[in-house]
Amino acid sequence: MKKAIILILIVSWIVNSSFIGKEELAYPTKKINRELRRLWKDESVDIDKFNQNVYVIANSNDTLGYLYLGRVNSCRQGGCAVNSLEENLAFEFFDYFMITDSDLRVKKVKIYNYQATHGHEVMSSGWLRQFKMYDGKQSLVYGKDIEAISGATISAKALNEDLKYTLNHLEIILSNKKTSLSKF
Amino acid sequence: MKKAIYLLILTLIFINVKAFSQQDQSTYANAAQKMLNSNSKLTIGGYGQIDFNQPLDNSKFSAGNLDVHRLVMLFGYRFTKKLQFVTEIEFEHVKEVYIEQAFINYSFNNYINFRAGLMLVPMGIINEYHEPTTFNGVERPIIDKYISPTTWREIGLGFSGLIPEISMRYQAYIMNGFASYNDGDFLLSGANGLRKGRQKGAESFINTPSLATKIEYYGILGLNLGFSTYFGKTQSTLYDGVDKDANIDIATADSTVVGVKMIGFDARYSRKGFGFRGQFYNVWLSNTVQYNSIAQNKGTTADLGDGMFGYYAEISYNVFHEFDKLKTMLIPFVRYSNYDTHYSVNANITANDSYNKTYITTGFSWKLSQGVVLKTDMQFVKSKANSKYEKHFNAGIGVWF
Repeated sequence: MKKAIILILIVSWIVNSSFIGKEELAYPTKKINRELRRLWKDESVDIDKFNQNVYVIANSNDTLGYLYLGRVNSCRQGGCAVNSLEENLAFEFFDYFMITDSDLRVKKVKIYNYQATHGHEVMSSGWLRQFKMYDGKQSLVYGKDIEAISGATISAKALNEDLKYTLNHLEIILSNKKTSLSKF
Repeated sequence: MKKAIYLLILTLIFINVKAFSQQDQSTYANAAQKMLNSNSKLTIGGYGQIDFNQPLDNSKFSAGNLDVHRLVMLFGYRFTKKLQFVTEIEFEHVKEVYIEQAFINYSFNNYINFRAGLMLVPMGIINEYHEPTTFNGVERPIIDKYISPTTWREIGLGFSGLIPEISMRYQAYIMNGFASYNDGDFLLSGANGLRKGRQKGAESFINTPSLATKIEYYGILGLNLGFSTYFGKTQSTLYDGVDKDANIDIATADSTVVGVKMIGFDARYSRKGFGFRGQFYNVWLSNTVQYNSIAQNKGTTADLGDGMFGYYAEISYNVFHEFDKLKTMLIPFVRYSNYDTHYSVNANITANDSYNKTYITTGFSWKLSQGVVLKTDMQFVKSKANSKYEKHFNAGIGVWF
């Protein structure tokens, strides 16, 4: 009887977590709070939601910076989804957050949900540190301005492009005080 | 004929899978096109290696060799968000068909994935990352032929995952091991090491499983360090049909089994166009006295050593790195390798100097894009038994998509 119950629980957990469909972008509270403490050591900061992906970091007087959460599609090279235009299950993905200063220059990039089977080296904090002070105004050439990662080319390039796109569009939506944008 | 049937069955399976999704009835498209257009859970990739090898000898004629060395197709199918199947089908030298990988991967979370099926043994750099655009030189490094016998894959199961907090990745699998004796054939030797003992998941037989593990550290920019281990005994058909209390027969069968312990250290570093790679393997074999002796009695010279090792160190530089206008990569490199399958031998045999080989490989790779590379190199090869280096010229094309 006990064995049957355990088996049912295991099977239903597997079935539940195998639910077809993409999981929602999660807000990794602990990881974000840890980074905020590291970046603004003595200050107490508030996080105000701007929209589902963008948050404003402020203290009682000023805006200190911005927080963005995003998802990047990737795939194993070789082996990319044959129909690359659709949002579909064949894409592997990873989720990351980016903290910028008030001038929209990167202070920290961290990948917190890496679902792809390859390219894990892109999570390396040493590699992500290269984006510090990046403001999206110029392209960073993968392999030259940003070190290439053998075996993680697709993930690394995808993140590089996403950061540039995001920084440029953050500027637009924050200045126009729009709360939605096609990508977000 | 067998290959054609296999391909046909594979195609039929994919067509059947397609039947579960919607079809456009009004247009005439072949099965593969329909499958590719509407099935969003299928991924396809592949890699290929086409080689030209020419030994150079001033005193003798020697034909060059042109070969489609490998063509590998990768198929991945994502059944659910967490469950996928990955397979690689390999065509070697145009004639031989093998399966390189065929496993299911279930992802519990970032930290743990469960895998089962035909998998790559996680030993060293090349066995896992062997697409021709990822290494310099036309052929794979020689130690990855004779010491870690790539492409080394067996059926097994186990776990892999990431520990992002410390920038590490791990793999641990229980897998089938090498065959050392198969119906009269002694498969291991000083000349070929463990290479001919690979079973590759093709009607393989097993007496005892082996354990393969690897950990990788990737926290520092540009650096990837790996440490691999492999422990197990080899498999033998001489146990088949033997009574469990027939001690003499069991002892005879035990003589055909060798214990294998292998470790590998690897390092990859790339920064500002400069690249460095190092690989080191050490192998310890046990029961070789009995193995060589029974092989001798059955008319085969096995001369299997007790210890084997191999290493290489390689440096390279992308000379186009500083030039923004140049989008391709031109990478000259030089690699020094040494391996010895008779590094240590038991008292009954003498170490054979011709099994201790040094390879100096130098040339360049021209990466036209991330997935296409033209390569050429010269290899200088010498065993301890020779005084002069032989020269080989190689050129080749590598693709990965």
